[in-house]
Amino acid sequence: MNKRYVLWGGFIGVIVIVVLVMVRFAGQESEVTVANSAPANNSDERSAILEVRDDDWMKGNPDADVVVIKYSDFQCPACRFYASMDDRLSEELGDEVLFIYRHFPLQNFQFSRLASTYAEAAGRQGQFWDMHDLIYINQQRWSRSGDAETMFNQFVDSLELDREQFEADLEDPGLMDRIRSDYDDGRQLGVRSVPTVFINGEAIDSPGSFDGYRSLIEAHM
Amino acid sequence: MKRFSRSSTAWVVVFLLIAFVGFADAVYLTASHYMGGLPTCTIVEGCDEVAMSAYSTFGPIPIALLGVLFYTAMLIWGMLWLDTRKFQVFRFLPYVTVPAFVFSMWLIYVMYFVIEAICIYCLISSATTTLIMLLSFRFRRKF
Repeated sequence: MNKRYVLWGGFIGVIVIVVLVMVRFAGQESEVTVANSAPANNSDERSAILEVRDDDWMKGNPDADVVVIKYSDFQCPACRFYASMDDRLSEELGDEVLFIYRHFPLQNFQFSRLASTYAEAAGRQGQFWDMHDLIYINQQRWSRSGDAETMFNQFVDSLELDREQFEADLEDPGLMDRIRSDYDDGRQLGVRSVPTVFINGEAIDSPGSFDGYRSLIEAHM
Repeated sequence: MKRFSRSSTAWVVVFLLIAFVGFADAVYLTASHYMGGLPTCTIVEGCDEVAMSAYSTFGPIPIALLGVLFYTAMLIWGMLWLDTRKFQVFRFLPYVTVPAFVFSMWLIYVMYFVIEAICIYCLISSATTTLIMLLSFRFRRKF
């Protein structure tokens, strides 16, 4: 009888320990911070990168006290969440905040680069944010379709963009340069995952919720 | 009914160890699923892609949770043998391990050819499921 208790007692003990350890690991994983993984950098360069630029894609008040710069990828689901949160926050906080989008297309996603080029080209015709929204809203459909380009072209049509101009812009090497330089800047800042958000130059930990995100922004107001 | 030997015990212990690895892996994935918060996509791996894909759940149930149930059943099964030392305990084991194996092969197919990502945790689980199935045949022979 004794042996049986030891056997099963030991078993349950091991199970409990394994579960606790694994849950702990899982909890830690979701708290990866960018601040810790940023390479020690020339802080002048860093501040320069995190300044607002005239040609940045901005949403909100360019003179706002709070500037939120986000390095993002169009095919990443988490980035889609952030896009909708930023949209909502921009409406709620209005003039107090400036949201800036910078490209950080990951290699592992098939259509990230392509999406970035479409957003940039749309931006040249003054419709960056409209294209940005269409791309994110339809993300699940095009990212699993095997042919995102067709859907992106539908967006061009529905936004009534100038086709010829659009195609010329897509071919323009300057367009890809812009995307590449955003990406390089991000790497210099230590960005290794998306989305990575900087509020007034400080990288933030991935907030667990909309309210958490909102509080982080409000803390800078 | 055969008497148990040292080597039988050793095999069942191996079975249990493999099941524990699978169990830990599945618990980790399940916990990640529920605690994810807003999971970011990293430069390096495909794990997030897989975990955030539509294929990671069966309706509202994360597949990782099904894994936890499967490995728990395997662990209990192995423990039952250690307790009773009767190979009869394993009589119906293959009926569970074979479907589990087939399911896990389908998941690997989806991971690689549909989601087009490679997630190490999925590979670990397939390996343990396969080994468990092979061991279950061995146990069946003893019976």
